[in-house]
Amino acid sequence: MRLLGLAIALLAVTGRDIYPQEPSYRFERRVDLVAVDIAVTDDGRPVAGLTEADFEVRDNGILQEIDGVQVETAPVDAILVLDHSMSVAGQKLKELRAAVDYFVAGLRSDDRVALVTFSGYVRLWQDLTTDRSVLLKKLGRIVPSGLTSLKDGLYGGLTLAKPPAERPIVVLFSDGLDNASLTGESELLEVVRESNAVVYVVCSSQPSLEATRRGAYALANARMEHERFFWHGSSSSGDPRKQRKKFLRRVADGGGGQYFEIDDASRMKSEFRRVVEDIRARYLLTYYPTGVAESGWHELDVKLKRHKGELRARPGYYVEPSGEVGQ
Amino acid sequence: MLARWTLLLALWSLAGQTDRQQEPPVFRTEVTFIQVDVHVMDQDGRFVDDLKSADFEIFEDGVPQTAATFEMVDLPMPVQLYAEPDLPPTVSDVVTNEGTAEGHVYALVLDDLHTRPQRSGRVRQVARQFLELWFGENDMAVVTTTGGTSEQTPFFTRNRQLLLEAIDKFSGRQLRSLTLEQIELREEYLLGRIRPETLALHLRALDQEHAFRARTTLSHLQSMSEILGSMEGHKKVILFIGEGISYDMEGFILGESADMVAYDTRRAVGSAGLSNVSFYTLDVRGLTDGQEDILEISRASSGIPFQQVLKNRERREQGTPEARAAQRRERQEGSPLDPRVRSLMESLEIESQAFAEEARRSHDNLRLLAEETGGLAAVNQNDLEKGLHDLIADNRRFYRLGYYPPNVTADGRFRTIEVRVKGKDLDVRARKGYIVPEKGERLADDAEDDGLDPRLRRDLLDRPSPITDLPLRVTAFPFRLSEENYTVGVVAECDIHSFRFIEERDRYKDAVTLSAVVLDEKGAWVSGQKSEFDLVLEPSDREQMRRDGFRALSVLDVPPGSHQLRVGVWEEGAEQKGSVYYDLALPSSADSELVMGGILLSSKSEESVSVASTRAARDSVPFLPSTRREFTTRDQVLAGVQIFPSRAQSKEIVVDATVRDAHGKTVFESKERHTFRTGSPLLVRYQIDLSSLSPGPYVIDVQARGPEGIAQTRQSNIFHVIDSPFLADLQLAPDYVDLLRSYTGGHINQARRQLATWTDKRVKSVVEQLSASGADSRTLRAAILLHTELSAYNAWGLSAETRGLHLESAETLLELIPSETAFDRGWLLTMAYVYQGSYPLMSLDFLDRAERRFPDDPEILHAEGVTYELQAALKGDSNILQKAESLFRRAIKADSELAEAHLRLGRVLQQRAGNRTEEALHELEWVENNASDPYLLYLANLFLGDLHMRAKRFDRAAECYRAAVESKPHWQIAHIALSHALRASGDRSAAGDVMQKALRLPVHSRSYVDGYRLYSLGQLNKVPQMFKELRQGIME
Repeated sequence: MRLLGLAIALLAVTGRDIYPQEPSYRFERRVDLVAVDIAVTDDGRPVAGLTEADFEVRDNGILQEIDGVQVETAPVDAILVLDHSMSVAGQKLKELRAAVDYFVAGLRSDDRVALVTFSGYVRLWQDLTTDRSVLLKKLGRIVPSGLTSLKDGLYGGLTLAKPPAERPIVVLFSDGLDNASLTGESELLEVVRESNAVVYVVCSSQPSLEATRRGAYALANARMEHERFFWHGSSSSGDPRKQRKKFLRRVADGGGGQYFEIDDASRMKSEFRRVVEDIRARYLLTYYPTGVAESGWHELDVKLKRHKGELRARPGYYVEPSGEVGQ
Repeated sequence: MLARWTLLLALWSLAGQTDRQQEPPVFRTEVTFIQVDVHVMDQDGRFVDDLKSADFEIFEDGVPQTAATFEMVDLPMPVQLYAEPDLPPTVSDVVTNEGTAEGHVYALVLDDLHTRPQRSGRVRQVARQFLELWFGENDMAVVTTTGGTSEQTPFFTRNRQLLLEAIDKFSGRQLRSLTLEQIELREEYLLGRIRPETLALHLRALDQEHAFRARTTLSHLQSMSEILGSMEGHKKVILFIGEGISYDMEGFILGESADMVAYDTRRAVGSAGLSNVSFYTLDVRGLTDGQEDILEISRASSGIPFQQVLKNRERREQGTPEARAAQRRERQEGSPLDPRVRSLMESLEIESQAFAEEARRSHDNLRLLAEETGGLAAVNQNDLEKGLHDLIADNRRFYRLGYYPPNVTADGRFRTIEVRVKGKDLDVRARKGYIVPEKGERLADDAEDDGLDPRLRRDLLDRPSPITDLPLRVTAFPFRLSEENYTVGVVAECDIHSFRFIEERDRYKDAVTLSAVVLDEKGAWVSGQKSEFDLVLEPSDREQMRRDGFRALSVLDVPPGSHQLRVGVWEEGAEQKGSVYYDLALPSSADSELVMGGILLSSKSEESVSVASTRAARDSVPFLPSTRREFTTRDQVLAGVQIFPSRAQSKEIVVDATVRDAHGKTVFESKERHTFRTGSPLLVRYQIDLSSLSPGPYVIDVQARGPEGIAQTRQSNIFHVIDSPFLADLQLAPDYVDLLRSYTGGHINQARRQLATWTDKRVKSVVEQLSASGADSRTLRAAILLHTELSAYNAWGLSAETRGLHLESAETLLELIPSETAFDRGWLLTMAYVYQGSYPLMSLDFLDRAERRFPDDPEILHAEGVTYELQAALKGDSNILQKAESLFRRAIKADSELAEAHLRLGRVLQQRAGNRTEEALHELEWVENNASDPYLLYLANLFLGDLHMRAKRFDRAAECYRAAVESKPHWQIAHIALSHALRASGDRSAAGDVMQKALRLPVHSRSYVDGYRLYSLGQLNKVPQMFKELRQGIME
């Protein structure tokens, strides 16, 4: 079954025949099916074997009838958004390649994967594909350089997570402070909230010796590594690393995913493994919304009925107001 | 009736030829930018060279346009290096894709369809004269004919000899004059030999035939414009040589074809306009009013003696019985002729006028093609040499304006362009318009499995000009001759500084693919070869390769004949490619008893350079040439020549070798006797010491002859000895002198790379030596710049200490030359730009020195302002920002046109506390309205967009960001900003689309740096240009 994404669903045309001479006609957009990606854990361990009867879903406060619950069967579209700024140079990049290799190997054959990187610019290396070898080959060609536009990178990755992408998962990796993005924090959180992607964040707090060594020669760039120049520059005070952590946690929470922090690059692989395990243990719960307005923000409230455990899901979803098309 | 069928058959036969040769690819057209070359002359015909962007007005379809780019192009006249009296001009055996973008691209279109056979020699003479006198070193050309005969070069080439050979095969095949044919038909009719309806039929067939020729010619010109449009080059010119199209577009009586010819003319001109191609037209008849054609044409082609023509005319004037009878009949019964035919017949009554009219039409047509495309026409003048000179001079000095057209719909409509110079009485010449052709589809990719690298295949087979992204040098040499084929070695070399290696376990990995394809004279596939090399280098190997470059050898079998070898290199790490086209002439062994395979050159210093190749290829090559042709006086040239005894008659031969300088003086001589071993070629080697030679070009010439002197063969090659006269007597370390020679001789990278390998101790020692040597200013300037470059660029893996040492060396030497010179000012400014972002105090120190020597200099004040602006951003200090504002205002006061100062002032005001938004808007809008540099326009729009975003005017912000995207369509940041503005205005779908587009921009290209990032780095982006200008100032 080809699952439909959250916001955009079918386009239904009212009226049987459409002739150009008709005074007006309109396309009407309606939400066909809502799919909610949910992780359930008990003391950190995934809880297996849940069915429709174990969940309760409210859409803008209205109780909904659950259409189905799937686990592991639905293919995912994984969008990897990786930092390739100068700070990942050296051993960290090697570990990152190995971790991604492991992550990709953990996906199923019908899962698709895309690769986006960011430094001073954001680049789509590979659009969604099932061909892992192409992606890994391209990963091998990444050369660290320049600045860190983390928020621009994630914003770019999230734009790929819309239909026809199915069950999109965005995995963000970074080790640096954002020093080059145009995208602001509040803008990005809004995009995350409105996106239908589950967002995981893997963040390394280990400083890079290689970056420090090269940075010493990098003249103007060295300065730029630490300071933002415009727009969303050093407006806030306090420890930037703590602020980054707080912000990225909000990103992961807003995207219904998880935040992982590592202080040693050698742990990168194990954290990526946890991401894969989490993805594999997720439930995909679907329902046809009833009794709620079609467009706008839909607050979601998902609860477990018969089990105890922690439940992670997106806080809601967004449906664009339907536009009129025609004369 | 017979005559008509003959005409129709002629038409079919031409149509067949044209169909075959007119299969140029249909180019997909995307027009986003229009360039116009503008020639401005005063009343005395002299070029006006002091105009600025603001002096020009551009109109498209009558609507004013804003010039986005402006430059004055001023190139030196090309000079022939020297001419060897008894040899054809020696052509170097190394071809490079470097400089291709700087040269001119010429298409010599020889109009055989409109040139009479007896004037073929004149066409050849004019075309030859052009190539021999004015074809520059970086120029490329192709020779084609409008009729599409085989006498043309199939490819664009830099090889003058090949072009000359194609020209020599030209012959005109103009039919008889249309006027003459019409006059003869008129006579036949008046004599009552043909009926009125037959007359009309014949006239129609004649018209169609001449229209067909005119259309074929115009269509060819259009195709050539499109091909030139797809090529790189400073200026693209079609040199159209012949007698001009005399077809009457305005008025032929039965003229269904006239409209078509007029339409085709418009399209040819429109396509040239779109491709920024100019037509320079030359009428080989010289001064003419068409009268001589009466004599010549009547005798030569109609078969009717001129006397007979005269007699006929007398007879008509007096009135023959038949003519009188016809006239009587017409009076009584009314004219049986179609009124249009009758009108034509009347226009032919005074024959001299009719011929003059035909000559005028051809002149007008040549003038029209030239004037509409901004070129020149040399018509009705006998001094064609002057015409050619004017053409070349015209192409060397002009203004180039660029703008973004308002309507880029591919609708095939002609858009008019008009360029004016405000308020001055000057002669302004520019093309008159362009056409965006309706969209066509690219030819299907016939994916033939030919073993070529797929990333290079289409480029190698289809591109008319080489790819210049990765600079490449290639030489090719035949080294084995079997009965049917030569085995040809191909050596390709490139610099590896732009390669991207992957570092793994202390090794550097990358992959390079070398593809070579040989095409025959008709552009058809002959053979191809792909070699893939995986580079796995130890750090020391990589350093070695950084000094020596990457060199690869490939071999392939090629049959005798004239071919074009196309060599492409793909480098995996940075995903970059380059290609070179190499003309290869391999004589048939049947033509001569002795065949010589070219003179191969290398040098003693290159013997240890490693070469990527298969073992089999390396073992098969008896002598491995390099692609360098410049050698220092400390080096020795190694030359090798292979001689093949094609008929194995002569066993003993004599081989003479000489090396001559530019004045013909012999500096090396050798005479040797050799004996062939059965069946194998002979390799003769030479080692030429250069220590006593003066810098300059040298020709090496080798001749081989059999014992009786009957069988002979001869080859020549060219190399340069590098030196700088002002360095000749210096008592310094010889390798340091070599470095300075290389540097001043234009081998900048080589010199920088070599100096980067020196130890600090050695650098200190040579600088001390130079300081004490009493060297002149030019030597010192060269050394100052070389050391400065090593300190300024973050390359070659130098430590901060070593870079500091080079800066210190430069400063030490700078004290030895006079201050307050342009060199001094330029150097101080360059240093200020280098350190502006990283070490602002150092930058301010340089600027302080500069300001004391050059007070109130706007550029120095501006640079100070930029330094403070960067520092303010770093520290968030509004007092520093105020200093920046004050300095920008002073710079603007000193030069109100300094656009970047307006831009930065606007940006600073935007960030200053208090309500300065209106002032900021004023400055940024000044830039938007007055600047022509797309970089500044991009930033002005980006900053204006930011102002509107902050004021929550999202739609206006989106407008500004769109304008920024249009200024620089490949820069990513404006796309991201636009995406956010669209999102903020509620259009999430468009926002997502724009961001997705941003992700797919070619931002990974080696040369990509977004202007927004450049802005925040201050003026660092100006440093390479500053160094270039300083290098040019060394010799002053």
